[in-house]
Amino acid sequence: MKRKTACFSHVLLHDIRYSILISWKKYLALFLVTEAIIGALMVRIQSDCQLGMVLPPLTAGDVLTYLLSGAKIFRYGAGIPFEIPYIWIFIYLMIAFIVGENHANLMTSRYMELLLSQEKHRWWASKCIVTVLDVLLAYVTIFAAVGISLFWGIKPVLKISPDIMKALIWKAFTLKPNQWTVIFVLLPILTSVCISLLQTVSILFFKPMICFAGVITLLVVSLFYCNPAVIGNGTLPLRNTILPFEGTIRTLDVALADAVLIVASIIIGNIKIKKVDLLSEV
Amino acid sequence: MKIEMKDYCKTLRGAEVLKHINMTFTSGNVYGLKGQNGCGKTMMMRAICGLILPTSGEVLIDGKVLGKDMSFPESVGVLIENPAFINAYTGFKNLRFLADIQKKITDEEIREAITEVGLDPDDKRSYRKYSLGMKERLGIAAAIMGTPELIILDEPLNGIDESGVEMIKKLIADLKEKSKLVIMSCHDAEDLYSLCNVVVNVSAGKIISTEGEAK
Repeated sequence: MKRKTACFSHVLLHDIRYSILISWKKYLALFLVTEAIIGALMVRIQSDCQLGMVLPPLTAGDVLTYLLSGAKIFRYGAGIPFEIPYIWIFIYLMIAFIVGENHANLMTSRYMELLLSQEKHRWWASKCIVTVLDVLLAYVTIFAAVGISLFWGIKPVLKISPDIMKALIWKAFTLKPNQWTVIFVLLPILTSVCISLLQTVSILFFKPMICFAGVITLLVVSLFYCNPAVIGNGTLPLRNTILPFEGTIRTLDVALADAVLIVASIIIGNIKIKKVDLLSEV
Repeated sequence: MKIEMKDYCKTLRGAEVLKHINMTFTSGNVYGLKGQNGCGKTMMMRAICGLILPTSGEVLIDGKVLGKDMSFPESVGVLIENPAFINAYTGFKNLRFLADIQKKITDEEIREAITEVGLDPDDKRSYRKYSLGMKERLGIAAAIMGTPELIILDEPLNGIDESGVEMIKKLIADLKEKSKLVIMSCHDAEDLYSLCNVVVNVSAGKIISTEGEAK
């Protein structure tokens, strides 16, 4: 009798391979679009310089800050123009798309994987880990795109230039490297993991398209409603209290909300798969 | 292997799709589920796999309760409706990819399974270029690779040409010879009676009669 208990590492490795196989084109699209955005940014800085502005050379820190900054607070009726953060929308929709499509297949139609994995909890644990890896890989892709752009003359330092920030997001600011890492990288990753796990667990209850629509709704609400309870705000660093923009989002509040929701998603999923009919679309 | 469905009921979105099913399946037999579309044949197969959970009743596999003592049967190969394969992979690579979850099925066994269903394991064409019949054959190969103890085949002859049908019939007869437990459905009653030693008549979610005798 050949078929018996599958080792967890084999199930996980299988899911990772499947995820990359299914999603590599989306990661490539994320990479290429990020490169295009960086290219456009360099052209913009160059033309600003030609118009007489005195700007220091772009650094990797400037580029990453620009890519990951998100949006300022939306104030209804305040007469302050609100710029739609297209880059932010693109990045997080792409992550939701990758997670959604990946798990839509793994969790709704690929029954042989499930049967061969032999154990629902093992299967669910693997899905959760792959969700986290999907998010991390999206960020690695963005960092890789910035890394490649170093060959175009961007300085390989994470220092932020206040003048560049003023030119790009209308406010001069600088941050210590550890502060920058927390609010521009770690907190958005944690929040993104949280949103993606919510999306994954939702697929156990609803159709994948509805879950994807739910993530879009959450992101849109986050754009217009600045509150740590609306967790998408964790991906909008310009709203953090560390920055001098009258931000109201405290790192600790968001991290706490994210952690609670991450744990809740994993537990709810674990309980639900015991009781749910899996692979409803088979 | 002995599978017992005991007073198994399943309600989905308010509709009772399986009603008080009592049936025992044992190794060395081929069971054929016969009935009209939507009568509950596929649901019964899903129930035996553990893909759906009972509203009431239970499935016992060698005395263990499915969904409580075990998530799924320990050694099972399944073909239900359209199996999802990776379009860019060849047939062999698709099965290797699946088998890697357990790392217990060798390349040789995969090649053997592909050959048994009449496909070429060295075929370099990707799955997306397969015809409907070839896709069905690969689904059967996925179900039988590594010769599991329980094999569930939902309409395995769909889309398969005449020579293929003979090949699959021989394959099922071989599985019976090897004392495997095969549960299958087929819309062609003639094929079903020629392949199965027990035919189970299903209607509106109920077993109305069984024909033939299990070993």
